[in-house]
Amino acid sequence: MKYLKTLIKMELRSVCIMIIYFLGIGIGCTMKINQQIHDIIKRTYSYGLTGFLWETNEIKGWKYIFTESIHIYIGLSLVGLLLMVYLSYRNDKNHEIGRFLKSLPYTMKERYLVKVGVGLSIFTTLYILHGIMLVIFRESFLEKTKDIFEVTIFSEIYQELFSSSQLIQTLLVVYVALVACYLFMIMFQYLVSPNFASLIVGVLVGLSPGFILWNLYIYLNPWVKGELLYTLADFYSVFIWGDGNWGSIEIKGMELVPTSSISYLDFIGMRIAIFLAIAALCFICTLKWCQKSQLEKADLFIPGNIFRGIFVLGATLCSGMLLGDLHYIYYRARNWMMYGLGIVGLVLGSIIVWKIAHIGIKKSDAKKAKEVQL
Amino acid sequence: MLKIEKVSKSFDGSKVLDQVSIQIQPGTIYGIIGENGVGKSTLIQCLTGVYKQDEGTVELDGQPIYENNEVKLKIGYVADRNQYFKGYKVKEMVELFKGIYPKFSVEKFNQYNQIFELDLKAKVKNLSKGMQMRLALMLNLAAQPQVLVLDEPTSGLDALAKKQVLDFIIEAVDETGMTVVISSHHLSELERICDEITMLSHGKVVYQSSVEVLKNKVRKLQVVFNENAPEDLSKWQEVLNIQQIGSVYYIVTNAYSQELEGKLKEAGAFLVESIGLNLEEVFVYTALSEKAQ
Repeated sequence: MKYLKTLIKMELRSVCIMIIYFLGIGIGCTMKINQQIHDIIKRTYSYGLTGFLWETNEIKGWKYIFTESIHIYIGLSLVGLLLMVYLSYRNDKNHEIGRFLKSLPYTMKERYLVKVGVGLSIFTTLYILHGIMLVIFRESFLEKTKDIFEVTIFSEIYQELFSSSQLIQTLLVVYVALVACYLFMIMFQYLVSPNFASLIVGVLVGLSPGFILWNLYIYLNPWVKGELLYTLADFYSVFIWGDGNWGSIEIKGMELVPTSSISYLDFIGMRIAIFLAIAALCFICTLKWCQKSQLEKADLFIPGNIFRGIFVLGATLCSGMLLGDLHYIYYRARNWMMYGLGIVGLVLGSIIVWKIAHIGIKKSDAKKAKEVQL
Repeated sequence: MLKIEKVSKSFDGSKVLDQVSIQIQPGTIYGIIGENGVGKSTLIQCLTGVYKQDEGTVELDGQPIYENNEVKLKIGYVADRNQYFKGYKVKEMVELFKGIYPKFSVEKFNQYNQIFELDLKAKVKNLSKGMQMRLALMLNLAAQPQVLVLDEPTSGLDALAKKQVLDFIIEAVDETGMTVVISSHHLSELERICDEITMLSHGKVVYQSSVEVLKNKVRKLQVVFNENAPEDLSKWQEVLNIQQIGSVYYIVTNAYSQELEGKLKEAGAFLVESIGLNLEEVFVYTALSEKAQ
């Protein structure tokens, strides 16, 4: 195990800067919540109940005390995870250092598992720390505002509005989703050779299902009943970004009563299941592919033939849709111009995408031709 | 024993190694020579488990090298360019090797460093090319591998550094009995230190023998004919190259023997004198002949 300890140290060193990053965003987001709590309490002491509602205006707005910070945390964490993947593979993708690493007595599988293990350990530890801080601040918030709530019409529902189980479930969904994103981006390090380009391709592929569904709705609407496509596209975007249900609260007498359950996020169980499935799939596929990955194919933009084909088809389709989509967004009209631009985009896109996907292959073809000439 | 058997390797359909077979006995210094792009580095990287061969086997003591940790522990690899983490200090690289290779001896490293005098606190990126090569050599020697593979270890080094590095390798082999596989363009150096060599051309093995046998086989003959030289002389299988200065023919052969001398005399030569070639000349004439074909 001693030799693996050295590999762990080596991997840890390449991403150790991310400890500071994740710690920083955790503390930053928690401080933001703390500031908001202080502002609310200060205003309440100054202006009474009006002050309490000042910023939020409605009950719905209270959720932002926690969920806004979670949204910011998700955004910054995604950037951090992308950066971590980049740093993890920076040395491996360097031609000279990559050769040195490959000559060391570690298998590709060991190196992949250690990379993922180190990355997830850093992220998980700091995420748990962030979660604990959020729960502590929630307790502090409830303690400080308990007296205020009790003399207001919100007395019955404030526990539900700031339910700790809701917060923990939300944190769990966000954690599983971020882990899935991390493993998804790592998978692309084995599908696309250049380090930075693999991140870009990974992000674009991740966003493409929503984009394709939305565009199918735009393009096919006159012929195909678009509701299903719209619902699917809408569901996809809500699934990725959407909040939970906060709308159904009624005033009954002097009290507010939720008519449906209040949730920070909807589809919690389903989201966890789907993100876990994505994470597991990415992990297993990468585990399989990493053992087949070869340093000698590092010159090829996309080393695998199957993924190269999928990339060409998908990126061509998206580039075609993009041009027509821009017209639709600008003029809000489905006309021959939109479809024409779509076709132009498809043709131009196919040429560009083909060239990108075959970077490295062309070079070796040229080399072959030169050898034949010699 | 290091055994390479019928190894082929292609890059996108272009065959870089074609059915290469080499057997390297323990304790020998083995040279791999050839022009640029003939597959030397590819072969070296198959030997160190960096590349996976498409066909054939690369084995150390009967065990495959690629993705085999146990075997890789026995192999040291000094690449032609800096291969270490640029942000690491020399002493951190020592710690890294110590953690990876159980046989790594810090004492030995320090002992070697008394000669090369590298600053342990210096970062790898701040070392010159020669210094980086010395570091790689010291680290790999201190790891005490069974086989040390060096890819162009002297390229870009000044004369003194070259001598130091080569002396170092010879001493290490004497001391530990390790096997050394070395590829280099500097053939005079290989001639000095190698027991055996393999010459590659277009991914294939052209010669494979000890340096002495090769030098005996590939020779330049100074020949004077009574009358005209045979018309098909340049097509003789044994002839690599012919030059004529006045009435004297300089024939380079890759199959020198008494029989060849006799054959020339039968063809009308009254003077046949053999001139020895150094390894570099052997390489040049062989490469020229390969190109002519």
